[in-house]
Amino acid sequence: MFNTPLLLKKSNGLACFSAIRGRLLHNCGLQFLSEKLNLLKQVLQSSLCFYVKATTRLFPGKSLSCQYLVDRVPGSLLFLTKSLARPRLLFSLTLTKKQVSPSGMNSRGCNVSDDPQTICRSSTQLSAIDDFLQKIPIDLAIEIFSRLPLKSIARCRCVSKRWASFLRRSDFTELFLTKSLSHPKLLFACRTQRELLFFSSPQLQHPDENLSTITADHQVSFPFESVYDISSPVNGFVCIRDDLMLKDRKTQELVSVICNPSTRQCFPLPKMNIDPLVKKSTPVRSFLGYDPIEKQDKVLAMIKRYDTVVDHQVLTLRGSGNLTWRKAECGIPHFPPNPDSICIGGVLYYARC
Amino acid sequence: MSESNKKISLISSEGEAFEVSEAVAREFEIVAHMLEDGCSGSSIPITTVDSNILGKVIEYCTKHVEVGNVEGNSEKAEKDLEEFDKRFIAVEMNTLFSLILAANYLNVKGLLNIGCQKVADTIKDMKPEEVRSIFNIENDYTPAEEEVVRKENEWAFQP
Repeated sequence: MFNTPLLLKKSNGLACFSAIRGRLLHNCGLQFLSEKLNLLKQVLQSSLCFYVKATTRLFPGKSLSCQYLVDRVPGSLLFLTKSLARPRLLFSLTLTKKQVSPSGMNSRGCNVSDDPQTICRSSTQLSAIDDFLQKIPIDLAIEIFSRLPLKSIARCRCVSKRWASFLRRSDFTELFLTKSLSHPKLLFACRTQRELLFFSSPQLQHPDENLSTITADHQVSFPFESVYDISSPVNGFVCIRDDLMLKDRKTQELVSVICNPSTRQCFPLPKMNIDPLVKKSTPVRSFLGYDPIEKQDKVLAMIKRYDTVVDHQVLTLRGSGNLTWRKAECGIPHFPPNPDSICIGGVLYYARC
Repeated sequence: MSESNKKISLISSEGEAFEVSEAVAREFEIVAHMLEDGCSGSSIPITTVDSNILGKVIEYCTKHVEVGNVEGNSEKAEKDLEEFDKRFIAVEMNTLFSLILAANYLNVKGLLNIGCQKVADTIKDMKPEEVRSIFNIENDYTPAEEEVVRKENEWAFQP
C-alpha cells in the first residue's frame, strides 16, 4: 500500500543493517531524502511536536509512509504530501483527547454489571455450552478470535489458562498481524512536558482526493521525562530513548524503552555495555528491526563515543531468557543523523550521513 | 436448464433424507466437489450432521441460491439477504457452534463466515466472568495468578 518515499531522492548515503544476519551492509545503492532531515528538525523543535508514521492497528506495517506534518495551530495539524520538494496540504487533522467510543463495554446493556446475579441472569438467555476451545478445531477457533479487536483478546486472556495459552500461539498472532495489516492506521506521537501521547487514525485510502478533516483518537499516554528519540515503528512497537528514573537506581538514566501503543505496555531495555568513561550525554540512536526468518524483533543501537568511534550493539527481543546486548562489527564508523528507518524483508535502512 | 432442476437427496446422520435442487446442493462445496468428481448418485450421506442442523444449513443455502437467481434490484436483495443472515444466525450457542462445525465440514463459506462473526460479536464486549459463564469455562487461574494476568491486561478493562 505504501511506497517508500524515504528512499527516493538523491542525497546522503544510506546505511543498511541486516536484522537477519546481524551485520551492517553498505552501498546497497539506495539513496536517502535529505530535505526531510531539516523538516524533521523543525518539527521536533516546535513546542508541541507531532510526528507521524504509518502503522496498523496491532502490529504496524513493515512499510512506512513518510508524511510529515508541521504544527501550526495547537490541536490541529496539517498534512504535507509525500513529496517534500513541493509540499502541499493534503488534509488537516484534529487531535482529540480520549474519545470514549459509545460502542464500548456499556453498549451491551443487559450484560454489563458487576453484580454476579445480573451476569447469571443474562447468561441464562443462552444455554451454557462446554468450553468451545475443547470442542472445535484449532483453525476454527483461530478464525473466530482473529475477528476480535485487540482489547477483547486481552480480556479473553484473563478467562482461563487454556484460553490464555491459545491466544499466545504464534500462528494466531501471525494471522492477527496479517489481518491488521489490511487496515493500516496512522500513529501519531506527540510530546508534551511530561508525557508522550499516542494518537491513531485510519489511514486514508485516497489521501489526494480527500481534503477533509479526520479525527485521531487518543490511544495512550506514557509518562516520559524527556524523550530524545522515537524510532520508526516495527510490528507495533516503537523504541523510545528517555531519561528515566528506574527502580532501584538513584539517578536518572538515559534508557531505551520498547512501547506497544496498542496494548499500552512499555518495557525498559537493559543497559548497554558502554565504556564507563563515556559521558551520560553521549548520543545514542536506536532502531527497531524485524527478522522475518527467525521471527524476532531486534534493536540496533549506536553509541557515539568519540567523533569517529561509534559502537554498534544489537539486542534480540525474546519472550524468555536474558536480554543482553551484543556488539556488531562495523568497518565504517557512522552515526545516523535522525531516528527514522524502515525495515523491509529483514533489512533495516536508515540515513548514514 | 434441465440440470438445475435435478434433485439430490442429502441424508443426515439420523438417515433422514432432504431433497434439494442441485443448485442448492452445490452450495455445499464438499457436495459440489463430489459432483464434479463424477459422483452422480442422487443421494449423498452427510454422516456428521444431524437433521436439525442439516435442515438449517439447507434453509440458508436455499435462500442464498434464490436471491442469487433474482436479477435486478440487487441492492434491495442484498439488504434482504443481510437481514435474513442476521435472523438466521440469532440462535442459541449450542446451535451456533453446531452450525459452524457443519458449515466448516460441508464447506459453506458464507455460513461459516457469519457464524464465526456471530461468536466473535458475542465475546467482543464481554468481561472474562461473562465469557466463562456463557461458555461454561472453568477458571483455572488461582486468585494470585488471576491478579497477575489481570494486571498485565489492565488496559483492556478501561473504557
